[in-house]
Amino acid sequence: MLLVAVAICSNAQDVRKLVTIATPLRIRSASVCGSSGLVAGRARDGSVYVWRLPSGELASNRSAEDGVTSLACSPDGKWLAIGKGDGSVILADISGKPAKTLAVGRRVSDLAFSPDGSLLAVSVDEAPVQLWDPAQGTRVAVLKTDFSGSTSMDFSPDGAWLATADADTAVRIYDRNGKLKATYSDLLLEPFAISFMPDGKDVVIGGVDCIVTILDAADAHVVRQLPKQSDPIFGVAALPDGMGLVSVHIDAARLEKFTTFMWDIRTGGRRELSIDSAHIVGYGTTAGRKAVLFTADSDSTLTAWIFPN
Amino acid sequence: MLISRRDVLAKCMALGVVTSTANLLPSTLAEAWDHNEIIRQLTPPDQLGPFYKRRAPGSNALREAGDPGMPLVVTGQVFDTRGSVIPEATIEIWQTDHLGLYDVDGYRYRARLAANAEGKYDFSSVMPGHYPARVCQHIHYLVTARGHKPLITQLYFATDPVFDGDPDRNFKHGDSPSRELIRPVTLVGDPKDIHAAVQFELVMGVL
Repeated sequence: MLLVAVAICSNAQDVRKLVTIATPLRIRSASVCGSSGLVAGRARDGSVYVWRLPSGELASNRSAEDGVTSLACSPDGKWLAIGKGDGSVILADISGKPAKTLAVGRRVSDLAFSPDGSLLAVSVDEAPVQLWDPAQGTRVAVLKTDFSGSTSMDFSPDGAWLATADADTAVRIYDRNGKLKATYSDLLLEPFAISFMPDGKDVVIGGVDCIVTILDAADAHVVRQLPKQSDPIFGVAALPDGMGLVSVHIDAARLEKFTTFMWDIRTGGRRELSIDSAHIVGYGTTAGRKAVLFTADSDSTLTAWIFPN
Repeated sequence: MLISRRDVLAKCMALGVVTSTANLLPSTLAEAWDHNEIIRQLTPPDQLGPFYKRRAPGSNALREAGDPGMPLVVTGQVFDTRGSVIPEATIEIWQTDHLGLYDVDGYRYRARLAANAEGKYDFSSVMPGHYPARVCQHIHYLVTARGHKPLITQLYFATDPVFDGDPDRNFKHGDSPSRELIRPVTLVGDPKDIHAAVQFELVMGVL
């Protein structure tokens, strides 16, 4: 997972602090549990916490465990998928009690539930994404790359499609059975981030080329590109209104400068959100179709920042 | 018609050309023979890294006149695990400049090479610097050849300061996944025209 270490927007009028939650340890990643009003966080020691939004009240927590690398919460707020470095994924109920273990064979780098929770996409190191049926505990498909694995993935809002940004520089779109529907192969450099637009018709990508590119999800042709920036893009997220998106940039050569932009897709205009040394650890759409960004500070707090509709 | 090793062994044993000191069946001997023919271990894989770029130029001269940094020449050969040469493999390499910076706008210190009919390849470059997010100096490799699994790996250098002169002892100070990928460096030439030379053999698995 390449979305790292970025600070955010303390004085931007467009983003406001929803809640700040004290955490026992620094949170490495946060996963919004759909519109259930919950958010799950993975701490540095592999423990998992679930909080209610917007109160920040602790709903459950799972004890520390070695080798935890990734976390996803099901959109209905009932299940956690916990990826591990030993090539397994633990499916646990929201209280943290394990229900089954999936053997995926390689270190798990990222996890994503489909919007209806019926599929789990598992991104592993240096190999293609695997699609699993979490209810049955069976693998549905292994996706395709020319070599290596994927850097980012996202389900369409209706759950019919999965888009992957792949290290072989291609962007691929699959159906629920893992059948390849479309490929965008004009990139020379790796895409690091991918996000469906809320209507499911377009896919936003960004990567080392420093350009936000919008693809038609039906055939992966380029719909438009936003102006090139000076630094590579490590994260993109479409805002629920379908008019805006957020891109996260890092000076990858020196790993020094972190920038977050909010774009107006209609005009191509952007506004830089200010930085205050926090770290982005998650993004999602929560109850009321509100876009929420999470940052984790070194003083062991998790802050939810909310975007206006 | 292809004759299997098993058939050849059985025939040779029947003719007395091959004898076994133990009372072993030809099939057992054939399996042992096959096993022993895995004479080269696969090159350990390593991460692709975030700066791969397609359509790199075919020139094996990555270093241009006047480039700062220690000149470097890397040579090697591509094999399968039985030790057979894999001819004409495609070898894509990319690295930082001597300061540890990748060129993502152009193709400096990037190349797409073709091994020759004997599986041999070579390129001239400079010793890469230390990229800020990594511990070790390294050169990325993506090797492809028909009938073989793509090999993604990295070349590391025994002279890297992180190993403090003893990569056997200090291997874990670095971020190479395998000691095998840390190659000896030989200084070649005279003080006025010196360069570092490294040999890096590549062993691929079959599909």
